[in-house]
Amino acid sequence: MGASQSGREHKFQDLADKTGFSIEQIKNLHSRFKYLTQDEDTLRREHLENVSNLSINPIRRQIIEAFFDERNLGGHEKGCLQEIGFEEFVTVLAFFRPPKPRIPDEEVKIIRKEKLRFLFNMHDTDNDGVITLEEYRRVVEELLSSYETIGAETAKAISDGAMLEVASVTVGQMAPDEFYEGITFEQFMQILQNLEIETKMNIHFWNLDKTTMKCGK
Amino acid sequence: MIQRKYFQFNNVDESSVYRLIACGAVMRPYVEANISHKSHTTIKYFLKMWSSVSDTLIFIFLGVSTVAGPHRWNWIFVVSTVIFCLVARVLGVVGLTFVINKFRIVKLTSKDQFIIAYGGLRGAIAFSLVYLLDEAHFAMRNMFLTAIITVIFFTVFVQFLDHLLTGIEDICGHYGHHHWKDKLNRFNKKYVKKCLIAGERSKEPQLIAFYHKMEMKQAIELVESGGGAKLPSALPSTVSMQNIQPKKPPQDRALPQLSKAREEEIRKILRTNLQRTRQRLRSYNRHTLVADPYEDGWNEILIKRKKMMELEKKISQMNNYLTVPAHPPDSPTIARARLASDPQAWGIKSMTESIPTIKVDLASPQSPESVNVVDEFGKKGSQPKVSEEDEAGLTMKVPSPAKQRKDKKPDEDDDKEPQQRLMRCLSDPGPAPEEEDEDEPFLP
Repeated sequence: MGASQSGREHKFQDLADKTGFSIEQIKNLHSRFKYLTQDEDTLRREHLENVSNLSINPIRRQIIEAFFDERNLGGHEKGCLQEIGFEEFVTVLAFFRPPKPRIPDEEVKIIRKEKLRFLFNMHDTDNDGVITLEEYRRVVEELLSSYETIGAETAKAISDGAMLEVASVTVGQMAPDEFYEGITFEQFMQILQNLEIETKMNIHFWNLDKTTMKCGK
Repeated sequence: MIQRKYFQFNNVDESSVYRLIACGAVMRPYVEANISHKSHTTIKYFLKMWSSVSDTLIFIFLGVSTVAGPHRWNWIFVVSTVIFCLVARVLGVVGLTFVINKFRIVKLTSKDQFIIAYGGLRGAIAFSLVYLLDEAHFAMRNMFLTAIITVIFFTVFVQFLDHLLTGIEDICGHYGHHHWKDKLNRFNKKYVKKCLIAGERSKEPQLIAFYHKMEMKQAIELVESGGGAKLPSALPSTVSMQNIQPKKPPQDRALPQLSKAREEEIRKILRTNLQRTRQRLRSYNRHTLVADPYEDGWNEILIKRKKMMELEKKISQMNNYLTVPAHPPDSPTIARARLASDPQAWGIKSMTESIPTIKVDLASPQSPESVNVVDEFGKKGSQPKVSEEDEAGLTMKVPSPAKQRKDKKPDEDDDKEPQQRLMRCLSDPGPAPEEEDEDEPFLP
């Protein structure tokens, strides 16, 4: 146990350096990972679907997919993995880490861009770099899916309205016969520039549920 | 401290006021959802009047008590009370806003904080009242309302983010405030809302309610600025629905331009409604209890003039839109039919089922009212439609739409003829004669 223990510590240290979590947080997340996968080595979609609270979440599909999306895992490939290891798990969660309090502006910009990129990828399901009307409509429908009385009409109306807004703000003048492909990442960033995403899209990782932390030794 | 004095005079237990405030704050969404727009306005202004009265009484009592005691002692007491009040207030406000700003999207700046601290004992409550009414803070309110430039997208995004964070927290097994907020929301939705809100509104999601609220707010803004303000997404851009829809068969292409025009017209109707309300509201300001007898008349003229200017502006703008010759003849009619939220008109969807438009139903209490407004203030309400008719007349040159229009809008017919004549006087001679389709032969 001794050798593998120190090997693991080493790996944790690497991960901590890479993602910015502390060793303590990495250890907690590792315990959680083991709990989710029921002591296996890799995480699959079914494992995440077993989380009970997630089943009532309207966008659980997108959330689960986000963990298996190659684009979020640092690669420049596009595609999905079928199972991920602890490293990938932590990499995805690192997107939600709150930035350290005193960091220079350029770093804040980088962090903001990364978080927005993550969100963009969640909307852009076919990996073509553009959020089309169809994709956006699907997102809105899912968001409203928990309300049974809202029909597809309203979802369509809202998504149309939103796309119209984005196009108006980012492109401005368009001739009547031009076609607006969809929201590119630059436009996405432009609309959301005022929203300080690096302060909103954060989870404070020190409040993990201790009851799941028993490693069953 | 002044509150304590008030309580002394009223022999009221101190904490009961806070209990009342808390109760009111919790009850509000349920009460608001259950009453109509008019009742809501009535209650609001009644309570405002009442609070003004109480306000006055408090200060009367305060003044009397100041004068009543031994002079010298009282001055020291009052001065020190005031100083300590201010200091404590500033400290409290600054401290709390520091904490709250961590969680707010639109942060409370030092200017806002100053107003809260200085604004009197009713503190944050007065702040929100001041916010709503005070003309002097118009600029700031404007900034607040238009700080969110893309409204719909932003709202959707915020909801998305909220669910996302909740989901991630669940995956991590993290009981953060998202988790609890979500639990509370769900409990609220499942049990409480069903009991306390009658009928359909209980199922209305926040997004839709928010959308309605934003429309109202923008309409109010339009009124306040006399129609001169630029709506964020409307005027400067020529992007319309057409640019967004993927290429579809030609019959679909016509409507998109109208949905935008339609939005404008919804806003115009709302504005008409609100302008009238606003004129009545003027006399609610307690500082001008005697209404100026000439004020109303003058306002009428001003409003009419503004409307004319806008209509002409709109007409010239609309000219830019009409480039597609192949409109189905029904489209402006259907747009207008939808405008009035007339239940009958909604059913007439013959040609346009597949065409995407922004069809957001105003919350049910409002639609009959807006129809009434249009009837009541016949000229004003229908003028924008007539201007569209002008335009329709330009490109279509088909007398049949007029007949169909008659079927669909029987209540509007009486108003149409006088306005056509009115429009004829005011707009260019060019478009108008062609509009006499209904009662005169078509003039080439």
